[in-house]
Amino acid sequence: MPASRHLLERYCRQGDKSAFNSFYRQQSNRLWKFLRARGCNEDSAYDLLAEAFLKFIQVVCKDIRSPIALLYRIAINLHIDNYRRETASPIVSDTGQLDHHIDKSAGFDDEHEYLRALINTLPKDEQNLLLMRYWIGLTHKEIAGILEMPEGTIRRQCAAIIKKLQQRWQDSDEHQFPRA
Amino acid sequence: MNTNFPVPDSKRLQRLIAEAYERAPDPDAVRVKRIGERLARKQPVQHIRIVNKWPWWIILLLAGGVATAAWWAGERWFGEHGPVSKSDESKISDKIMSKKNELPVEEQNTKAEQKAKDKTTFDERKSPVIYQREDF
Repeated sequence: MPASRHLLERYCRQGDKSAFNSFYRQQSNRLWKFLRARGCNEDSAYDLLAEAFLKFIQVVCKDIRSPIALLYRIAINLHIDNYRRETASPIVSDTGQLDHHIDKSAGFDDEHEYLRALINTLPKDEQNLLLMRYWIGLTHKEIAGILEMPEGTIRRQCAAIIKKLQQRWQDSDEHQFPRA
Repeated sequence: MNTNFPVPDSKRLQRLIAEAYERAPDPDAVRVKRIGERLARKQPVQHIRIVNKWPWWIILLLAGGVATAAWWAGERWFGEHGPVSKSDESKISDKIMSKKNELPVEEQNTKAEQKAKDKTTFDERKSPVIYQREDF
């Protein structure tokens, strides 16, 4: 499958709408899931998906070096605006004062589900960072551009969040099921 | 139902993160498709920014080359045909020299003194002695 950037180059330089449609098909599902993971309800996620792509079309041809990073930057900003407007309560609060421990008695079918629940206990910014880096696959540099922070800071934070997650995994384990 | 999951190492944890969210439920395909169609309708007919096939830096380079060539050609032409001919040049310099020679006497004297002073100063500067104590 052609890389995203090539598709958008064809769209911007030749007006090839089918190239943009291919890009949309490539990215839409994942972006929707990302918005859901960030705390949007289903309907809001569809609305934000449409709005994000609409804004994306308007600006992408000005700079097509990192189109996916641009798309997620737009989506995150829209999500923040939407959150402020609706004052919806996401899964994770901004202050991150939720219980850090996971109730395993609730039952997790597999460790993926458990991990998602664990990630939801992290502060919002850390969740964004984690998902963009290890799921969406953006580079440290691209994330630094989105969050307007130095690249070195992003690298350090990513490493620190992974350690924190491991610690919480262990703490939850011991808290709920103390080792004999 | 397994509730005791071993703590993964960093690499495995990074992989698990990607897997955990890829496995999340997909959106409704029909709704996503409808959004795509709406986007296609909203796209402007000619959305292309006008991008020259020639990159901007090539144009700059060419313009610079043309300017350099023009300047060089101009220098050469003026060098051969110059705005002032050589014979005229010599006439002008003669005139200037004769005007200089017509200076009033006082000025000439002042100029001579100045010249002498400059000569001394110049000679002193040329002297290898940097500092010499005065003997009173």
